[in-house]
Amino acid sequence: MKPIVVLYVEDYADLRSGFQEGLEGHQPEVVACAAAEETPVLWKTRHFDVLVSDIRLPGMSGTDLAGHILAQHSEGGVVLCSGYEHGDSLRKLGPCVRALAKPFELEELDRLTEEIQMLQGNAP
Amino acid sequence: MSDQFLDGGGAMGAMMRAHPWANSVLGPSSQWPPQLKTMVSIMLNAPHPRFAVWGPEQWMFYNDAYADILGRHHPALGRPFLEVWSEIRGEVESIMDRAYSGEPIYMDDIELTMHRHGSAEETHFSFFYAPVRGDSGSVLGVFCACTEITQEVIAKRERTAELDRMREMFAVSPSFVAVLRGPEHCVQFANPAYLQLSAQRDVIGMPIRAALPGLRAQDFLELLGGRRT
Repeated sequence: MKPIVVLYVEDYADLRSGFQEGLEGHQPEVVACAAAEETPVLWKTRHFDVLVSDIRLPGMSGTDLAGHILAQHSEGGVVLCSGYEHGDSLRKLGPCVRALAKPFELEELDRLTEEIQMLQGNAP
Repeated sequence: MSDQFLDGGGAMGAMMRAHPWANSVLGPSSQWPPQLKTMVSIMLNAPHPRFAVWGPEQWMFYNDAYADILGRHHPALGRPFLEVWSEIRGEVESIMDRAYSGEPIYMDDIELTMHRHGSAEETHFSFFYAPVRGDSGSVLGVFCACTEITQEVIAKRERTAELDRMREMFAVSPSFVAVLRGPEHCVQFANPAYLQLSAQRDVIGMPIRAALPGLRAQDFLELLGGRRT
């Protein structure tokens, strides 16, 4: 299976490092970013397959960030994490966008990233 | 006040401009102290790895070349230095404390076990930490120039090990072995069998005709003539 690179955006340091360490066993590479505003710059500097972002972030929201990334990189995959239900509204952002209700198990995220990989034509 | 000090600087320049500094303890970048602005501007446009820390929490800034050194710790803009580099805290905390107390620090080789690519990795750096003082004279931050020398250190270690192996091999060889160098064919290395041949005299550095006076010098030196290193 081709390893995927995840860009994870979360403003809480503990959650960021916990996620990075937790996902290490599942995915070979996770880049964790504290500020949504930095993310579009980072996305341009190297290849990422999937953006995983909290919806509630200080400054730019995860939804705005996803819109910004997808406007420039329409093939990008996005998983938006939230503590409340969004129904299917987030799917309107693009075909490779998925919602994940918090708290979540890493296996759920694995399933969504695999689904996105299939859609991106990067099948496991 | 202007943000022009953040001009240029490649990807990290763009990250610095995008970062929401106004929401951080440091406040809007346009209102930073002049020392911090100057330090950040020099650092961003340096072609070699440079980083800077500022304030009591040692908030971190760095350029493109240093982002490569950070590996998976990048991005880490505005985060405390010792939190970013938690795996080497034991080695670098006291060095940074000394720099904050006003002491410029230079080390030509520090060995650090980093986890920047997901697993423990031996690394070596030479670096210079320069304290940066405010108007009152107190240290506000530290400017850091560093060069990663991991490959050089490991290559040197392997060369030395290879040489040691060869010396060991020559030492136990029953044949006499010597390495001669220069137009005078001076003895650079001689194994125990060779020293026995030369009656145990200290021949290292001596021209071969003096080291082995019994030699039919002319014939031997003619033989050596075309084989000088």
